[in-house]
Amino acid sequence: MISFTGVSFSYGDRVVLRDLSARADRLLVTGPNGSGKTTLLRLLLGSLQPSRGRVERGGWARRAAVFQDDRLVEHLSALANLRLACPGAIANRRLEAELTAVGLTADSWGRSVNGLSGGQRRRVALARALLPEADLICLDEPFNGIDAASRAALRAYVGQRSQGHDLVLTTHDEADLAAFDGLRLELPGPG
Amino acid sequence: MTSTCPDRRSGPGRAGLRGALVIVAWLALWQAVAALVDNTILLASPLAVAASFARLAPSADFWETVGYSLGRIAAGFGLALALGAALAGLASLNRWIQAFLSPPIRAIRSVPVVSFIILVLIWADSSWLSVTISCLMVLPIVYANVEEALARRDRGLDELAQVFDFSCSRRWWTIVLPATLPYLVAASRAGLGLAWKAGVSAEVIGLPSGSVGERLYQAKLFLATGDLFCWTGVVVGLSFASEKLVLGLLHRLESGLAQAYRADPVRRRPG
Repeated sequence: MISFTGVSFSYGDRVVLRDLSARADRLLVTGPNGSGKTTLLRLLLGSLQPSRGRVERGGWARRAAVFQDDRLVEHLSALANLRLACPGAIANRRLEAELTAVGLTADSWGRSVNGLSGGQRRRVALARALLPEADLICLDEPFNGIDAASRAALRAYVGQRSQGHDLVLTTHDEADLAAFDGLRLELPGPG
Repeated sequence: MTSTCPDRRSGPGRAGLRGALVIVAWLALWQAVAALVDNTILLASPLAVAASFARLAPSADFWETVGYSLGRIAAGFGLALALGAALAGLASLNRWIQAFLSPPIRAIRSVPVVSFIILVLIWADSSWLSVTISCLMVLPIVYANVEEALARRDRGLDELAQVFDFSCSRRWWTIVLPATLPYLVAASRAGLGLAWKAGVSAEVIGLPSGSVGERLYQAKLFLATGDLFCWTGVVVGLSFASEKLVLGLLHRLESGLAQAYRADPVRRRPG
């Protein structure tokens, strides 16, 4: 369960989030640029601490995320990036199945990710977030860079794979909001 | 229209030939100046140096002397590499540790090498001289480079490691080591020559028995300029060879790491 109460956050003097509260299994966060969507995600992941308020993180033994900037380990292959996200040993077959499911073709699996296109890198980041069966999955605008033709299929796959897990998804896209069920949280613009 | 013919003015063979011709030209110039001076004490000719080398090299004593200095300077360099990297790693963990380590590192960088040489001669046996001095000269270079590597590493990857709960070893092999290795290569390139220069200079002052520095001192004492040039050439050669060896090893480690990561075999397509 995602739960936070009275959460505020400031970068120095600039207040980004003010007195936010929510309680849900699936949370869909929208809002204009600079409204604090990514900041809220980082608060839930524990990368930032709130200036005020409380985030309940007790129930999440394992977390996974798609960051806004992919954040892949550049010198590693797609397979190695996925393997990194899994704490124990994992069969190559499972990694390959996950990469296939997100639409990455086999010729890209063994290449270092710095040679992949933006869309391919996004697919690796998505596969990495889905593979570990994490208790909390945070997806920061996860379909950015994915071609329009593949988006619907990927949304459906992510929706199916994230069932039974706590999910936070940030987006600007109405189609994403329509495809995922959950509590909508609209953040006000900055200022 | 572009030509597909190879450029005859470039390529490794051409560069090698150019390098060899340049060396021959300098040797010829040196020989000519030595003939002009015509005084083997003031300036030994390349032929006289070659004759010195031919006389010294067959003896076991020559190789024992080379081994003595090589072993100690290599040990000092290795120690500086390990110690500098470890201390920079510690400093990156905490600003207080960084502040605590900063004065001695600055002091080592600024204090004249001769002061350290005298201190080592007061505190310890002269056989420790080249190990200690080469270590002290290289340590601040390694420390500064590794400190910079760790400060400049991608902080986003730290967040990734924290969110996905990477183990310490996974974090080390995938994030810290690849970020640090290029800086270690740069530190080694800068440090190895210095280790040899400072190490041999310390031996010339402290005169540990059986060292290259002692042989250089004896050459000066007996006005054997040919031997002086010969031993200097040996030091230059050893410095060059050890630089090639260490940089080769580090590059091998770098490419080995990259290859190990990429080696995930795509055994078969699923389905």
